[in-house]
Amino acid sequence: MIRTTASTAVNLGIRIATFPLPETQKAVIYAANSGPGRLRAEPGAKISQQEQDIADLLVREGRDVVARAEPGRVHKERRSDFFVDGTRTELKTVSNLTGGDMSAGLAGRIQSGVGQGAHIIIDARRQHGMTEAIANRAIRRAYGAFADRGDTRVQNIRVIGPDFDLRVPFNP
Amino acid sequence: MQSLAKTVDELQYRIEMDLAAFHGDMPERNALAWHGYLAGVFEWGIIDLRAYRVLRSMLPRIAPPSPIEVIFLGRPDTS
Repeated sequence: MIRTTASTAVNLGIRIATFPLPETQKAVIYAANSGPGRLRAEPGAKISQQEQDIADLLVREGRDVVARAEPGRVHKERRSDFFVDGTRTELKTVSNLTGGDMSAGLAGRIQSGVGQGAHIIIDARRQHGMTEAIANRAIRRAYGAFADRGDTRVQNIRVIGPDFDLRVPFNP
Repeated sequence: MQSLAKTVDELQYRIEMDLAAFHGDMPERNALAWHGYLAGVFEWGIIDLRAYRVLRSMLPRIAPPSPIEVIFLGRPDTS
């Protein structure tokens, strides 16, 4: 786990913004070296290296990423909530899926993010054997299961693979 | 390959015919077969999510726990 500090920002190669911190959020603000993207982290927010990798990618895309510390839980080992462009988003990584049914493994990973954000982003860039076709079918399997139980909480799934970037909304 | 709209129309017609055969009271075993059939054609990209949701809404609900969800997500690896 990375505790977000100014030194972390230096290590990540991103500069600390000079604009004032919003009083209401008390956020430590980091920004991309160029473009509008930025990562803001509330004091005490904990971000894993895997989450940091995805957040860096989103910042480079120009997105506004906020890692929030849960009130009263900042000292426990609980992952932070993320907001990406104002939408609560679950960031996950897959890299060790094995067996003959990789799309089920990925669908299960998507399933594990249900209830934690309307959007789910899976970083599968380091998953050996991951293809766009497998990711597409995993998303279908997850959405099929959600539809089967009438669960509409997840509205968008994005899977970033080694050579693809797939985004599928629940209501196209 | 047949267009999505034609495929959906055909599936809709076939479900309506089957429902009519049971006078609107399709037994659960038949409904299960249809739910599984639709899940398969959806997973493998024959129909899209919107069509899947429309078509499955025509069918009687299956009492929980749904075997369709297990087929979609797979069983946990217990090995």
